[in-house]
Amino acid sequence: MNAEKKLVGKVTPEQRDEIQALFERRNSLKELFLIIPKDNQDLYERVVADMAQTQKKFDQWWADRGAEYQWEGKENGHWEINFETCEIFLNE
Amino acid sequence: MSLDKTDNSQQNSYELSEKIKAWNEGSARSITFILTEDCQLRCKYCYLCGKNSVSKMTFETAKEGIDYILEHTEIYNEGSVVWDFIGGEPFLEIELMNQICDYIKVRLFELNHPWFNSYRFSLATNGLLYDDPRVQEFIKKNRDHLSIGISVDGTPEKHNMQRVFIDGTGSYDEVVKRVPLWLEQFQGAQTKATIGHGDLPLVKDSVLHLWNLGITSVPMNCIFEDVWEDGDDDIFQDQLIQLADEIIENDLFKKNFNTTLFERHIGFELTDNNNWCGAGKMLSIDTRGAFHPCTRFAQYSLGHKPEINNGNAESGVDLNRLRPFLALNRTVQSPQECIDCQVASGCAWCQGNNYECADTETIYQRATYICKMHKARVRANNYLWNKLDKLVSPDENDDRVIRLKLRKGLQSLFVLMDSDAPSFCYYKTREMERKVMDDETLKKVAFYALTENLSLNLILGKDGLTDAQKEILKWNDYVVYRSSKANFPADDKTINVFDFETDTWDDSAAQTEMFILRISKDHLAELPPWLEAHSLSADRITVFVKEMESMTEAEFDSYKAVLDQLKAWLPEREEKKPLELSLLTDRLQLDKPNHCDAGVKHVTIAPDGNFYVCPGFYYREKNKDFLIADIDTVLKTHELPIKNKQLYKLDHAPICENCDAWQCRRCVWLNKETTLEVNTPSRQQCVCAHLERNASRDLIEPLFLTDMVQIPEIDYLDPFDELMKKNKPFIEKGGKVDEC
Repeated sequence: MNAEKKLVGKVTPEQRDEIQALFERRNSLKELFLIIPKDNQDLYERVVADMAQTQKKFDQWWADRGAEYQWEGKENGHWEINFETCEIFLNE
Repeated sequence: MSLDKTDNSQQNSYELSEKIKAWNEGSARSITFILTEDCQLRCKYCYLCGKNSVSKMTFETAKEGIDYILEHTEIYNEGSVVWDFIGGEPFLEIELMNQICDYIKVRLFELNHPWFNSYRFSLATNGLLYDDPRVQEFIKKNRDHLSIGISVDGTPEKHNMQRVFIDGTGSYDEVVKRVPLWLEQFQGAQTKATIGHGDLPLVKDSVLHLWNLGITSVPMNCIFEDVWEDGDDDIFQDQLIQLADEIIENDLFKKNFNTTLFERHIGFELTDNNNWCGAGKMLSIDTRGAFHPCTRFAQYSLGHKPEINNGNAESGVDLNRLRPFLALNRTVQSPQECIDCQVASGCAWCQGNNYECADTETIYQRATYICKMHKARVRANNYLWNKLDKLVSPDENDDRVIRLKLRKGLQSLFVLMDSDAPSFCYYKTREMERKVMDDETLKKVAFYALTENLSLNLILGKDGLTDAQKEILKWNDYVVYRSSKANFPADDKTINVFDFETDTWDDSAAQTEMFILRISKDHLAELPPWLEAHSLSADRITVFVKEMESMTEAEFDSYKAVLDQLKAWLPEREEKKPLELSLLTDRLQLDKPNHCDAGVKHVTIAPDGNFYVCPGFYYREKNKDFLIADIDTVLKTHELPIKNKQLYKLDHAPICENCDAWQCRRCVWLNKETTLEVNTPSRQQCVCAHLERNASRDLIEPLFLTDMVQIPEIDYLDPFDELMKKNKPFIEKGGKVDEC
């Protein structure tokens, strides 16, 4: 076990699915952004808008779950989730 | 606070048992593009028999396939997708692959397709172009969605034996120099190693070599084709046993190393009827744009059979041609030997290879060339996991622990260490020249037990167990049967055997909480007072009545009187300390027969190195029918050739099969001694068992078991009489069947 990681809680499988979908979408948008043809302004604008919206939902999920479960936090720390076990870890 | 990545850092001491999983295994649709039928290599075991440098996919062909799939969400409706790229060598067409991936990403987004949130690109490569700038750019662009496996077969010798260039030279050096970059870019990446006939002796070193290269996950399997020769299974088993010893001796099982050669779930009877192979649930698109249930059904991977395609983007998928694949289950395609196999779990097959090997053009005929290699793998797995379980002690909810408890068939071995050891059961010993099991034989027995998942019951003579013998048996599970005269201390693995007529009740005998009491029918009247005086420390006493087979009708009455006395005493004793007394309490605790089951659940190995049905048959003068084989033969053939083995099963015992005197041991040795048939009990065995049964029934109320135990009242003592009543009309006709 990594000494810098501390188990601080767990979410439901449904909540895990929500954040996993947002996590995957964020990665997909990031890689899509790299290949947008220069002449496709419409696609560019749609992707950029989606990236902003997805990031907002992503941050909101962590804020909502943090408030719901009152996980332990730390200055300069961040939470991580294990998608297999639904466990939440505090990481420095 | 934010999420950065998934965490997979948890480790425990049993990392080796973790299954190597594919991404979203079982729930993702697999779509394969055959980009090219060309490859720089000519691997000797490769099933792609039609490699050529002509057939290549065009972008237009790929685009039509993708458009068709994304438009038909009613068919392709899984939550996730893996876009797989295959060849030949897929990186030969890196620009095409790059173009296809870009198109997929854009179209998924434009269509707002659910797969945009759950897709992967996956490919297996020979690695030769891995550091090509175009490949590296492709990896950079798709890093979060990409899985790449480089095929390395193991040691240079093994790899170069199989994975050769067109001119026959080995490719190891050219491939392995690119491995560090691959592992740097894909932490935890896995290779795909293949085992053929020629490289079997290199399996152990190859797995260790791959682990040393830093490739910690090593899926490795024997090919399915008809290549295996006599003795290959022994070489394979030996290699895996050596690997198992390396894993244990060097604590590799704690260090995140993994290979599919060792999996905890393999080697058990299968209860489900699922098809192993996923052909039909996948979609493979060949260079021409034709759809196939799997790449193995494209023409370039089939020798003399015609390809099976099920449509294309223009005509649509032919669902009728998918029906046979989706309806396919395990039993419908398997020979009876596979259906009945007690170690079937983990045995694999390839639907394409089945089709290629079948007598007709069908996928419904399973090729079983791999059978003996699977069984060798099972034996080596048993060896490893039984040893590791001694070190790690998995809990009772562990899947393998549960499977071991539920399995049928042979479960233990009685090991007669010394011909002078006393009987612990009904059988009689015989004066013979003393023979003690030698250490070499014991080593073979210990090894056999580990590879076959058998626990040991050691029947000790006066010498007990030497330190050398204890060392030999240190990895085995065993219990000890010994008399108080034996040089072996009583512990929780010890069952003391006390002979009423020849042994002296002393402290050593009294120490054991469980003991076996053998008492002559002539001294039965002394049993109740003796038990009252000597049983206080005991939790369980198993009683065997010697010479029971010669009891007379008058002695049945005496036996009933003894049981009545015990019946009256037992509730009083229960108030002081509960006692299991086999004659009376076993029936109350059973919901099915508790027969000895010699020849079914256990056999015996004697000091002469031979297997027998039970110890009694070792001492029997005429025992050729019951001598199974010697240990060397069994280790070589992996078979226990019990003659007429069905006769030891309950469904071949007409007098016993419907009897509910479940505490009866149904001793096959007694049967043979008295009726000359192992499946037929004597009147004495039946009557005594029923006297015990009926006495147990009378204890239901005094022991307050009325809510838990039901034993019906019956008016007979010998089930043979009941059987004769049913057969009476036939017997009265002189055994002649009515003419029609």
